[in-house]
Amino acid sequence: MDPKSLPTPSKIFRYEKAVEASTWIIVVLIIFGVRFLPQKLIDNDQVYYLIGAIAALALLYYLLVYKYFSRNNRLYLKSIADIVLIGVLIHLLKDYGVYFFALYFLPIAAAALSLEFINALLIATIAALFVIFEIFLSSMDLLPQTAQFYQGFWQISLILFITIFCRFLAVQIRQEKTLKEEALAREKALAEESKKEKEFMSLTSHQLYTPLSIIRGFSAMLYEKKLGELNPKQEEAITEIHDSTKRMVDLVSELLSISRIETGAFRLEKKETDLKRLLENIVSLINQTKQQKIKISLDCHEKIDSVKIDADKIRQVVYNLIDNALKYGKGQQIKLSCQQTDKETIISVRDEGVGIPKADFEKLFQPFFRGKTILELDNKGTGLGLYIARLIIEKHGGRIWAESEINKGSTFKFSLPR
Amino acid sequence: MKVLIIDDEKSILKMYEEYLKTAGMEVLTVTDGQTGIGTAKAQKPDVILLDIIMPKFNGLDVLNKMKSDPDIKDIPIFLLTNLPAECSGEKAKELGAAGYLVKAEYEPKMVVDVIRGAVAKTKS
Repeated sequence: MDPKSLPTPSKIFRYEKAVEASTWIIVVLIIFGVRFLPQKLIDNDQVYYLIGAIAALALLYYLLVYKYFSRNNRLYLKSIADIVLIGVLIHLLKDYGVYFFALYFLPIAAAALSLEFINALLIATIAALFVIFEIFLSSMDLLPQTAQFYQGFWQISLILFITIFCRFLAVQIRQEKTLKEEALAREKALAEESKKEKEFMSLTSHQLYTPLSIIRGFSAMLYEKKLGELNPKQEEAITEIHDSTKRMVDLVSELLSISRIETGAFRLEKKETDLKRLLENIVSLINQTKQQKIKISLDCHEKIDSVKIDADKIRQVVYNLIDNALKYGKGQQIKLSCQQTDKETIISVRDEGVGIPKADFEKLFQPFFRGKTILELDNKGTGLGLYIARLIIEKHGGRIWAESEINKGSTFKFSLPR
Repeated sequence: MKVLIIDDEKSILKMYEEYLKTAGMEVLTVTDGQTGIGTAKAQKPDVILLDIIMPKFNGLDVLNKMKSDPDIKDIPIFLLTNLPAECSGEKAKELGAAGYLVKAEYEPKMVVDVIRGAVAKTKS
């Protein structure tokens, strides 16, 4: 029999082995244990041999079922055999058989948990028939007894209750399992997609950067006169090439960053970070730069609790805002501030520069937007820095915005949730 | 100051070789990782600049082998690549790289500063 052509096996086969083991332990206990009970149960010793023979036949049957049937059919056939075996044992043990009634529950529960409802119900019905059969035989011996009928009624009710309860449990377990499997499959597909995107982006970066880095390197050598003196026209030309290459590198770098963020190939590596220390380091590094004439001041609250952020990305955002403030800040003071509330941490960069018209506020964080006042000061930026800052802050669950007055300066603020 | 550059891109090798020589450095260049390991063991450079995407062994494999070799494990190795830091930066750090430089973002003079800084740190 080709197992592939059989119905899909149930997912709850782990019960199968437990039920199997329990049934056999109890059968063995019955066969050998009853002999040691204080009272002799069965008149004729040959009954023990009969029980042994039935158990041996059942074992042979199970072995054949294991060999020739798929797991799903196997459980079905084994459950029926279990019920028959238990029914015969109960009958042979006469009055004491009633104590072994609970044995029915094992195959019934296993069937209800693992098989389709109709099959589980069939197995429960077989068990119920055995109970009725046993009552009928007892009644023949002991004359009609109301107690026996009540006992039978409760036993059948219990069998039905266990079937329905275990069936309900199985449906719940399957539903949960299906949901989990679906979620896992979705997660796997997303991870696979993200991995492919990441590989694609990495190779794209590599292919774009390689010729650019060669141009940048050789133009730097010419620009720095490492390859000999240049005449004024050559010097002017190489300065343009050198500056444009740098802009091209910045542009490609920022476009790649945006692609990585937008395609999900970029993932935040969030860690608990001492934000005050991070900002102090940024300010100290910028202020140490020799070419840096404007000094940046830091105003942080005394106590700033650590926040869970991707420190490298937040550093990139702060650098970006400070870089803008340095470009458009008219050489005045730049102040970096940090304050914390119960819900969020707000970081702001204030300059005393040209300011931004209110009409531009919403467009500031869109790609390639360059305000008129900004263009008057510098036309070499990519127009992507604030957009990247917005994407990074939004990825952190925060927001970024600007406040400004023309000729009085601008403040760029972003919040990070706590 | 002796610098070994391992990169399969000949134009890149030529550019860095020229630049570093003008900065007064002795430059060794090889185009694959296997030869790079041999050259590093034989020549004991002060600093190694290592590309990542190369035929046969990639730069991270070469870095791993170099850092497991007692003869050369103490030489500072900088990955000089065009793969973004997000891609291999963490892995490079784990394997013991002294730094991760993206070629297009680092002008040659910045690379020279990095090499000098690393050598000064080793000597101190």
